[in-house]
Amino acid sequence: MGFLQKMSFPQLVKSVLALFFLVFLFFSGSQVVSEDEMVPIWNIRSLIQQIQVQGQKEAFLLEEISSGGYSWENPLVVLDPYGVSPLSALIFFSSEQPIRVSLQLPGKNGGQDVVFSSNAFSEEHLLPVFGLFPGETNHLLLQGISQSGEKWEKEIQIPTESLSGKLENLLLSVSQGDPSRIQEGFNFLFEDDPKVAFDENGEIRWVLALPTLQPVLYDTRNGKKWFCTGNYHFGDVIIWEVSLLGRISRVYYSPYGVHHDFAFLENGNLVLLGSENGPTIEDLVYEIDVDTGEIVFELDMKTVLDPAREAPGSFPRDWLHLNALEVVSGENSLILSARHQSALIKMGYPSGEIEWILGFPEGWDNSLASKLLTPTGDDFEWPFTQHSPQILPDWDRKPNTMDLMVFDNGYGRFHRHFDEREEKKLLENPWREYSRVVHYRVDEQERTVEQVWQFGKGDLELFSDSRGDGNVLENGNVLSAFNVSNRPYTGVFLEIAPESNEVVWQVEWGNDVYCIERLPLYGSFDAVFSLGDPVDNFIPEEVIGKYVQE
Amino acid sequence: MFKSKAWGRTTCLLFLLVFLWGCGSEDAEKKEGISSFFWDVHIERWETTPLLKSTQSSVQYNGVVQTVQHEQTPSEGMVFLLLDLVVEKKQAGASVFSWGDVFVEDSEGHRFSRHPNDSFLDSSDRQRMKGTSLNFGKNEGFVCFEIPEGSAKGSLRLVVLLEQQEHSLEIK
Repeated sequence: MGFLQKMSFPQLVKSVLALFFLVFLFFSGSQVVSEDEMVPIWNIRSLIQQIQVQGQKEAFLLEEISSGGYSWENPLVVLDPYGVSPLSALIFFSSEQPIRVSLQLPGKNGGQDVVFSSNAFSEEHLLPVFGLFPGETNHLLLQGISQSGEKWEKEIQIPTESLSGKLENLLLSVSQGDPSRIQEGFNFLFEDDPKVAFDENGEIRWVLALPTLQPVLYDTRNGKKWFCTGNYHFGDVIIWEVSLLGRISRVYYSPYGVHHDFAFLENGNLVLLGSENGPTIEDLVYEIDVDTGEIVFELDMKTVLDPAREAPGSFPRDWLHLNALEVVSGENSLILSARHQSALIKMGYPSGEIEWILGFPEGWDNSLASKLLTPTGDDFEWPFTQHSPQILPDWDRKPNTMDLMVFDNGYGRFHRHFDEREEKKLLENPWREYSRVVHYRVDEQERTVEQVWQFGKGDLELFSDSRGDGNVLENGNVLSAFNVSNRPYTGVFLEIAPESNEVVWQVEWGNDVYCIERLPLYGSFDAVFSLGDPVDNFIPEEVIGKYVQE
Repeated sequence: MFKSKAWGRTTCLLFLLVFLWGCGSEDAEKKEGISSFFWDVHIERWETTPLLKSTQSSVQYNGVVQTVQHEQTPSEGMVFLLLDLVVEKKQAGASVFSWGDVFVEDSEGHRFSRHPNDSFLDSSDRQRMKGTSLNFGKNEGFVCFEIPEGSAKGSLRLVVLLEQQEHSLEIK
């Protein structure tokens, strides 16, 4: 022990501390959390912090507005007031007399203008600005009209920063025919973060710089978007409502994760797809009461379907892989898309009673086989590993039929049993699988299904083994997203005129894609805009404490 | 060994604090600032570096975490000067804080503007101050300047033009 005697006291203290530290590291090794586990924790923490930051920023903004220094001649223009929506802004000013205000941001290269009008005469004007172009000075035209018809007009310049990171070079190509045949609106994407919307020229016009999971809910009633942050399959997840400006307004918590999809029930509650951390995943449907934040209903799909049935892509833990849900209006039922059963299922909710199954007929047990729909018509093909069903309006004016648009991935159409090695062959697609957007019509009385329309059959370049979308737009065209398998990190968006199957618009994108929605940037709800409303935060205190202090 | 992660972390933190207390410098950091009628500006901390490295992670569609590495280097013979700034509007009213009026000045009087696109800071572990004008509230974050290696070895000042008057602050 002679070396100890040779050490000075500070050296001794440091050595002892270093020894303790090493012992601590050794014994805490079993508690080391991997990065995969840490990312949801960091993301939940940053979301909770953003809610706090939002409150501070709003308080400052209200103070600035109340200074009385902003007028038509000298308006307050705040780019990205909450620090998360860099292509949005807020304009405030007072006018000497009540005026009605509108703004216009001209499009580029023949693209649509962004136009917004307040619907009332007022002396105080708070205007959200959406759809700014990145990396340039935007020239916004502001117009005012008094009750006597007197008009004013001025230009407001709003410089924005260039997009960075993975958003820099996403656009690969755009081709379009006659612009008059394209449905107006902006293309909001489902994928991981950041969430974006792009215009008809493929230019990004909205970004939300907050960590999100893939599932998205667009509330067309108020223009708000719903996202999830945290764990995907199971575990803590935060479900939150946000405006395009980046203001978070409602926040809920669940311990069941949210994978793939969620929706509003007709009672106003949220119904979500999640899992418990058990022997199976992606097979739980649950409901959150939006007034209390409590989980008020859970349905384990193992109790209503057969987890032993084998289908393309299924394996014991992920036997069902629920990837979409749609609420059937006027009925207590849901349409569920189960990728790993290659089936679309109409199920009573909350009863859990299976009403019908649209899926290939092999392997169902007797009780479920009786629920299978019978195909009619010559060209009929079953969907395989499908995504994104959309319930269409009453297409044929027959109350007993339901029309569905579905993205049929076709993974497993010809080659039913994949193992891990074979999945690598998807790039080459030796089985000549193809993906389609398909319009099915279900006759619920006759218990039959027919195929009304399809696009993509036989085009092997568009084969998308996972993900994809097809939506009918207001003008009758079909907007689709193909997550093409033979070119990794490439998505193809097509707008198709269904009467001729002509592609009227096409964008190629340098990232994986899941779903796409064509939506306006503004709605009538934006005409009444306020600041400082409290956030309906239903995250339990102990959960907030866990993430903010941990 | 430890009943909870919190206990273990507290112990670890305690040891580290003792260690830092024993080894720390005697000089407590004082934050000087620039002040005008509308604005207060001060430097929280600063650093120079020849390379910015970072890792960004996000949760993918299937729940898998994807990690992307980023690296950013300055031009030949230059280094990055990173300033963690607080820019606070202390008086509401029509005054704008413009980055065109902010410079770093070296000991020979050469002035350098903020990097024209330091958005790469977003992907580093630092919170970046947005690059467009500020007109309300308390704004915090890093900004980046590219300065010659030689300048970085001498004294540096932050120069800000506020309400038509030049203010400066030693970067130390």
